[in-house]
Amino acid sequence: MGSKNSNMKRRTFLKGAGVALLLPRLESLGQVDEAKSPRRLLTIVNHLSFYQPELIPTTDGAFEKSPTLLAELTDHFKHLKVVSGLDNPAVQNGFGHTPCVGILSGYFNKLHRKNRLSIDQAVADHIGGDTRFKSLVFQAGENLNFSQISWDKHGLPIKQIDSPHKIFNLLFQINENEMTQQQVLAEDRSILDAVLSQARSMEKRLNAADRAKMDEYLTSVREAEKTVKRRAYWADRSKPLVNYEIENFDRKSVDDYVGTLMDLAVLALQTDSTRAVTVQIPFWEGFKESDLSGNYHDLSHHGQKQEKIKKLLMLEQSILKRINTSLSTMKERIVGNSSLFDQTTTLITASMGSANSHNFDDLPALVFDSRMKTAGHWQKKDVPMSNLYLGLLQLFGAEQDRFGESTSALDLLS
Amino acid sequence: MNVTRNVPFLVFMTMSIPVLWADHALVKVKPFIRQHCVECHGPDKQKGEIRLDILKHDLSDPVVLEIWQGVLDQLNLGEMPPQKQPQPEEVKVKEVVNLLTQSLAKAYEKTRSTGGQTVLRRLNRHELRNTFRDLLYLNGADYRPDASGSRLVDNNGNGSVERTGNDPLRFFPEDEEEDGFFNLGDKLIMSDFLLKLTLEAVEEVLGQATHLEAQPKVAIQHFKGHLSKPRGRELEAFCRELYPSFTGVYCNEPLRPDVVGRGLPVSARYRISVEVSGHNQKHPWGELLPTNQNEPHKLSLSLRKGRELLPVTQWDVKGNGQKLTYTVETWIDQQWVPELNWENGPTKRELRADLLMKKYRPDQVTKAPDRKVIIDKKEYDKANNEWWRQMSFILLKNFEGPFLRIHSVKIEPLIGSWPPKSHVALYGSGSGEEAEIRRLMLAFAERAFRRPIKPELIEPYIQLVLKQKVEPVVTLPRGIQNLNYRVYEGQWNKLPDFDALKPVVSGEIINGLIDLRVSQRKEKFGMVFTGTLSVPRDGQYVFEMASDDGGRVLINGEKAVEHDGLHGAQLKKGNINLKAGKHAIRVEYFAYGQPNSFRAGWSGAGMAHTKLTVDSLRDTKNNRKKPNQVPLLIRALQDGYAAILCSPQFLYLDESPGKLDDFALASRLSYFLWSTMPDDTLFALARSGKLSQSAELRHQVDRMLNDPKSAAFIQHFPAAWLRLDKLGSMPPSGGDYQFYKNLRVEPMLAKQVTTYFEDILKSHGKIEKFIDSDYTYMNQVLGKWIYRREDIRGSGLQKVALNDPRRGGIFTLPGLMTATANGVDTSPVVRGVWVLENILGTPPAPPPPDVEPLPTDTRGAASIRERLDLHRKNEACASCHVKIDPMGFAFENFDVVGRWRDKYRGDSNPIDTSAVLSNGDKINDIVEFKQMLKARKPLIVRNLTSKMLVYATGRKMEATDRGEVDQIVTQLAKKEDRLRELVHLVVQSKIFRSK
Repeated sequence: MGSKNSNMKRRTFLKGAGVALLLPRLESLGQVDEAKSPRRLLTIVNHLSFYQPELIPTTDGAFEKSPTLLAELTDHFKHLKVVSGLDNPAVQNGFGHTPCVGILSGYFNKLHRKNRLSIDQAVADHIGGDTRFKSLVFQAGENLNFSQISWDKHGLPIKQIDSPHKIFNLLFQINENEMTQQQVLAEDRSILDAVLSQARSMEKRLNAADRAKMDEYLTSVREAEKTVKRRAYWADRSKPLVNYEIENFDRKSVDDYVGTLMDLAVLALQTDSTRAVTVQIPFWEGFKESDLSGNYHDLSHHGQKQEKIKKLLMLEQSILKRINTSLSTMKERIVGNSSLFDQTTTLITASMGSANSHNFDDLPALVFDSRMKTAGHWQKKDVPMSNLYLGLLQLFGAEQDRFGESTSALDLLS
Repeated sequence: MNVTRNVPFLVFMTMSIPVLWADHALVKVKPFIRQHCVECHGPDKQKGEIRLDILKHDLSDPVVLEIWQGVLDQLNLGEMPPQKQPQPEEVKVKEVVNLLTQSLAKAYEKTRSTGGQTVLRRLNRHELRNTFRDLLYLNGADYRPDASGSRLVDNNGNGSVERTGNDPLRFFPEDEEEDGFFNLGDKLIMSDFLLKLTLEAVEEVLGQATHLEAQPKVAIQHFKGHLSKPRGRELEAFCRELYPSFTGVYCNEPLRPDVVGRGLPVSARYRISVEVSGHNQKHPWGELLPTNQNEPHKLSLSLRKGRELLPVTQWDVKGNGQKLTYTVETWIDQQWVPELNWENGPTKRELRADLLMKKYRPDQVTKAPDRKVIIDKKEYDKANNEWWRQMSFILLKNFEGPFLRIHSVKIEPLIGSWPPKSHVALYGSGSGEEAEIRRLMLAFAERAFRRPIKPELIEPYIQLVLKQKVEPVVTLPRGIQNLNYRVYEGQWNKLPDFDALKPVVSGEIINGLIDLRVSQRKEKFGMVFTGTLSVPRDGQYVFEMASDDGGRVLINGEKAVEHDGLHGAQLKKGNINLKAGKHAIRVEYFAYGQPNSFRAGWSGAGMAHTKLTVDSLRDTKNNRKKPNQVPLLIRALQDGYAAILCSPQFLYLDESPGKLDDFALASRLSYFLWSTMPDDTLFALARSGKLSQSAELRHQVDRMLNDPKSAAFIQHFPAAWLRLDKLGSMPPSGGDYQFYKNLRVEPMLAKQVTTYFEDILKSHGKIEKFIDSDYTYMNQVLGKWIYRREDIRGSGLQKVALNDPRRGGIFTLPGLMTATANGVDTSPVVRGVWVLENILGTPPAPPPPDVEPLPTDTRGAASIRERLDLHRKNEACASCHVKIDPMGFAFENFDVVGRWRDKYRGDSNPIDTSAVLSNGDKINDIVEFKQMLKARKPLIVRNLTSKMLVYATGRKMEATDRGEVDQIVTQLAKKEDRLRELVHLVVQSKIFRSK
């Protein structure tokens, strides 16, 4: 896989980095309450899915004999629920890779932008209020037509950042533009202030129906002012310091690229820059490993040829290895009085059941949460994915009894 | 309390509180309920926690409404009573279903009521954009009256959305829509998200209106001879050698002057003059070059940027060899390229030298080189090219086919006073004096709020400006005076002593901006620029430079900024103190290898960053985001203006209940017909109180309809009336429909509908022309791909006579057939509902929720007709579908893009389009269908009237408006149902003139 030496190097380096990492002055921001650690969400979506016969155990209940792929995650079996056979009814329409854009939305229909909200953003809306970024969405590869998976409540795409350097700068570097940003924000605030005081003169002479519209407007101004204040608050505060450098990595190597993004995801959570990180591993023709013939997409269409499947498994294994490493790192890193792993719910899922045949049901979902009572595998044939999402949403304290096309909530902590 | 007697005595009529409203019709349902439902949903058992014996009749209560809806759904689905229970008679069920359907429909209607009033209406996206344009005097492609604005376009139908255009509102979400209308006051909402976007857009448009840069100088560009480099074997390529002094245009391929290939340098108004002669309109080569010999050559001028194309004008050039000059003035945005096209010329495919020669000059045709004889590929290509050359030359020497000759093209910029009006209106003289600030802001606010205001209303905004320390704006003399350059040849690692070298070229640059291109060298050269800089006042100045490779700027021989050696372009700054007056500037530069560039600018002592080079160091557009570059006064005023533009009086149409005052009327009129703020004329009439006089209103409506701004009405109203907004939501693609995307047919389809509407409006046409006509509009693409006609030439839509009675009218236009299909299938149900809702104005009851489109067991029934027949056999479906389905069958001959078809794909039987209407009349096809529509003209006219009133007022029509609508319809009949009269009657109506 890629350049094995450099991989090894980084992994060891990271372990070191975990220790050497300079903690941000979180306490000064007043976010981390020693008694009650915040909850965080890490969502990982592998566009091309996994070769499920080697991922999903054949029996329900506790893990006994784990298939090759799943075995990569053995270190965290105690806190893992594997749910298989899930269905995303709304993703059925379309062809090729296009339906995959709806994987995180409980419902996807291009006609109804309002329904497009993705689960990572739904959770972020809930828990993202106190951090510099409400959420961060990373993507290992170019943003192709069908790789947009994160949608806000307005149905608009959330920027999926594909450059580790950009992510790093966003998280930890001071940007000259942000200095002038301060001034702009201050001006915006005084504009909104003036507008608010002037608008009241209009309010007086309105009838009831108009006044309701006017209220809507005034509320909008007040809310907008709050947002500006929040941005100003963060623009005024220095970013956390970390002892981490992005090493040269091969953008064409799944292993390298995913590894780097996972490092950054962990750092983003650890520094409390955000509490919701989404990592998308998209379909990308260019993905290949130097010592492996054939590219990722091509191999995913294995046509049940053993030789191809073997190669595909090598790629998928390296992805899961990376994720496993990150989960381990999260266990080592203590934020406040518990480990990052303890504070984080991690979801791994895929946009397709099988990339070989492009089916959009039979979806796998792997949920890691240190609070769960029983670990193991459960097959949930034809249960909508939204049920799992709703369960996740409720885990984060949302008082909702519906997400997308959910019929009930999956209990993820039982 | 006995609940069944709970009928309120009082009905409260208020504006916004839902009316307490009991439906007596529900009493009639009770016996049925008692007989079939109460056993399980009554006092003894409450299965599903539902009890129907004491269910109230007050449908304004959402809980009650929901339960009644549940009852209806169960009956529709046939789920209740359960199979094991005694089943009610079908007739009884039908009766109850009908009763409930009607009652519930009324109740839903009530809950949507706005009490016959327009609710405080927010400007929607296109209204806001147009208002920015007129308020701030903005120009450009994104501000055309018919600009559709940027949309979130899902090009591949895969959720990958992209925003089109540079519209300042490109990040805005789609406005709220109901029944195809995007301007209903009660529907349009405001949110913090939208408000934030509005503030950002406001900052952007204020930036667009602000012009801190010096007056641009644009040279007149005059092209003679060949405008573009033709390729390969095009006749044009050989023509070049034969006739170097002009371009011959032989086919309808776009022609763009190569010199402006990357677009015009400055956004401005330009005058374009084209010297052209047309030849051989009548010609003997009609067989191979089929053109309409009765019409002149049509030469069009458009503007292009990438894939975007804006038509500007079209000239008729008589094909008699006479040389004429055509002129047009138009605004051209930076980077757009003018493009000429011979609209009705032959196509490239027809214009093959070899074929023409064989046909018309057979005796002069020499044998083409043979690949079998000349084996070597290079040799063969050479011989082949030579042969083409020969043939083309012989052909061109005595070319009897039609052609156009472009002798010259001149592009003159028309930059009037500087700074432009948009800037002066905002900043006046830039004195920074309080009196001027107050005067400017009050004038601006009155236009923005669209009515006179008391100065104290905007005092908070004035204070916002005044509290910032403002100082007068210094405007800079442009560029460098007496700018001379010298070019040296050589390859250095650092700046040499140029004075010791001998220049190879020298000259003067008139526009005063340093430009490396005058060297005409790409690498291994050096340059020295000298000239004079006028410094406005004493103070410290910053010189900035980005040079690749080494460069330095010297003022009076003193180094202001330097970056010597070999490197890429990096920003370097240097400070220098200067006294007011003239100073010598010297710039030295060298280029080692490629690439190379030099950009520089200066700022300081109250003046904005000003460029010294052709290419600017800064993006001068939208400088609001970089506050340091903008003088304080400008920034402070922009804050004040931004506040005005975020105020409710600007963002909403401010109307008081009752009869509208003249200013509110001016706005309503202007947003109706122009989708923008009133112009000076309307304001003046409102101020003098004359606008509300009937005669004046009539006069104004005519004036406004004749104004180019009426394009907004022509675009948006028919779209709402006929649901053109659905076009593009499910575009056909792939296979047989690939042309739809590849040729970008969709905008043409929309344009075809609006053009049809426009023509009737402008030519005083009758409303029945919408039902049927003996003409339609098409261009070459629509002709070929939709109508299967090869005789239509050109990209512009033209009126085409039809001898096919199936095709006339607006309702069967392909745009509407596409909008009422889903890109894959057509459905008589969808089109039937569309006819009832949008053409006849008799909408069917909404389908029961949770019902699949075709719910009954239709296995074994193959065709859509058979499936629908089965569907109608189901009682629950029948009551509505007997009305819906017959209205759709006649359209089955139109496929998902509106092409005519006689058979479904994969079916050898002809399509059966016959239908029996609910009144028993039988119609066989679309022609008879149109006859049927003609007989229902009063319904169509009433519906159109009602829809136009909705569009004009921004509110739904309600039962109480019925009288007035009827009155308009009656009066309109006296005016022969002419569309333009309808606009007049709408404007004169009480509904329009009061809130």
